[in-house]
Amino acid sequence: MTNRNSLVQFRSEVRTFLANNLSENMRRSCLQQASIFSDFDAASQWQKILADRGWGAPAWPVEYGGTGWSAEQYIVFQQECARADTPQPFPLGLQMLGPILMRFGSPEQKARFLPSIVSGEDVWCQGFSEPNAGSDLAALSTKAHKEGGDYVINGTKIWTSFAHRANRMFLLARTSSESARQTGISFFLVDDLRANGITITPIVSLDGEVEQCQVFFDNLRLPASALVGKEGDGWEITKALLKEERGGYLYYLAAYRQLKRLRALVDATPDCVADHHYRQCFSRLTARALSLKSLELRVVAQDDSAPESSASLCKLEGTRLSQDIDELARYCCGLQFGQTSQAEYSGLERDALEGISRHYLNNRAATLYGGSSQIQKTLIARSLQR
Amino acid sequence: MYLNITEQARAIKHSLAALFSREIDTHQRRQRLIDEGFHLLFVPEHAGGFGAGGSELAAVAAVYGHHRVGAELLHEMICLPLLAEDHSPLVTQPQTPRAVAWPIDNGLRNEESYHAKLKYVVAGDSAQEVLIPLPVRQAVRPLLLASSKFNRSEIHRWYNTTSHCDLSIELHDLGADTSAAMDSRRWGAILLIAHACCGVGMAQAVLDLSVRYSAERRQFGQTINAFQAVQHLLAELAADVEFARSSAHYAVLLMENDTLTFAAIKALCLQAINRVLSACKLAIQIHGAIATTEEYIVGHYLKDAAMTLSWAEHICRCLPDDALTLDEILAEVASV
Repeated sequence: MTNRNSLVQFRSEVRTFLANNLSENMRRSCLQQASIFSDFDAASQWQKILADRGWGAPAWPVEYGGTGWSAEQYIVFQQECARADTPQPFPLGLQMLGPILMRFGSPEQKARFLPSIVSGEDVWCQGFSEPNAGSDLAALSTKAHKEGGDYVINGTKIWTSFAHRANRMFLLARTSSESARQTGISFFLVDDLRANGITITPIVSLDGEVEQCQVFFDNLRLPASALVGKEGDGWEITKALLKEERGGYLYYLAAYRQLKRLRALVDATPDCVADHHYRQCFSRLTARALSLKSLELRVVAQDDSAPESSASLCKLEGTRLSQDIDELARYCCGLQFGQTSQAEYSGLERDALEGISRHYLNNRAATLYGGSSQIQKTLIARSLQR
Repeated sequence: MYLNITEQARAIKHSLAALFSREIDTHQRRQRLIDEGFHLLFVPEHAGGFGAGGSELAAVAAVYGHHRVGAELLHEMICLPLLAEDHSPLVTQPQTPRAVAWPIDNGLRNEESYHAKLKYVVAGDSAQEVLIPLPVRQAVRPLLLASSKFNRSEIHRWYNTTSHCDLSIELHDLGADTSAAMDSRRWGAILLIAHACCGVGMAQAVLDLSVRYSAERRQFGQTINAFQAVQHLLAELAADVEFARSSAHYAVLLMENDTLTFAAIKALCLQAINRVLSACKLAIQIHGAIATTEEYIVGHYLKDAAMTLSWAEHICRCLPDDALTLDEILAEVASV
């Protein structure tokens, strides 16, 4: 627990740092942001700046290169980043793999991989979903069989975010098909995505951009040291990792960034400022963001009033809220919505218009990735029945 | 920033829930509340009460909603004492009343009146009505806070010599920036928050009933909670409950900290109560036809929730928003 005075001082320190280090280009990239991921180059650049300051891994313990901040400091930092429109560092290494390696990784794996996540040198992607294993992840069929001292990987992964830009991947593969579906799965680290035996095919999304890829493995050889934990531990590790994914993201701040971008657009559109429908909807959406904040902060603080299914509740509500903000943004754009060229506009207004139109399309995936809304509902219902 | 429900508030909540479980008649409940001292809970300490705050308000009002105690006792035991805490100077300029769609004709519409009036009905055995055409604060103060002369025993005496009371406010067209408007908004905020927290109790009640019912009711050879369609309705219901609670509690915090004013509290409370209403509708869908009967309780929560929303919307329609801009409300999202 950090006392109020220290938090005020800390906030001021963060604010000063952001003011001195965040470039105008990085801020602009946020206005154009079309998905939960920031512009890849801006995010990489920002991660390096944070790492130089010692803030590369705000939620990690000091022994692994983190800040050792309290939950309150972490929240203040994230709030200030959202207010300042910083890019968001690529989350798969920092928020998902990092905590998993700290818990399940060997000393060698920790020493080799954690520092380069913090510094931003390595960018990880996640090889989980397959064409026939989406929500039913345990149906995955990518195989890893032992050959000599190595594992040989064959199969394919799909919906792999930024595989075309990342240099490493963590993946699930089946090491046994004799036991129950879940117990035959193992967790591997691929340390070079450009190695022989890997083919990466980009997938163009509805918004015309590439974020997702399909990745094919054709006799990819991995050393035994690429296995995390023991053979067959993959499912347990994955459950822990998905908990990090669903619980570590602050949806209320994502909503805040979206609402702020919408304000920037509306401020430049006098007709909209006084529009009754806009004002009512904006007010309601902001109230929803506040209620989401109230629950997410209880989760971060590990307050016992947060229900067991909080992570699923936040994912369900957070992604739905995000799509509802998109809908209001579409309304505010009027006939400019969806136009590919906004040549008649300039600067901030054009950035916001382009970002909003693309986000509207890209964000249909929000209620699908990381466990679809249907999966979240099933998890919530199960927790009610316990 | 979230509301911390204290151990003390939880203890009070459990005692109150036990009391309401035993008594189902409104008059018996009221008498028991007085006998056990609950009527002093929100009375300021300097007036001899316990001076309970936001945490207790959230916990206690939810119990009222859960046990369908009704707006009458909510107003008398929670809202009146909280309204009485306001000590700002009275504003007494006469204003022309605005016609409002108030469900009860309180007989004051055509009179010259003050900016806000309390209809405070004290019905004794003779069932006589007493109308006090004064601003809320002034009307409440003689009852609870009439200077240092007023003490705990007098509060007891007052509660024990009246059989019930009813609170309604006639609201008038106020300039947004007048001090009268500010006062009205503060009262409005207290009433809205009490109703929103009360609604959270209703929503929790229908969730509990739905979880239990879906684990007992069998169709097609299995309990209905085995069907994914029903599970997803339950999940939506649980989300409504949790986010109604989060919204209402956030509004309590804003009131306690005096950080944001009416516009933000209004948005949060309407959000909360709308989710309560949605929860009740989902509960009926989960229960099926049985929930549409007079006999079964779930449908009655829908009536309570709809009335609560009408009450809240009425307050919002009548009170002018403050000067808070959308940007200021938005800034709250990223504040501590």
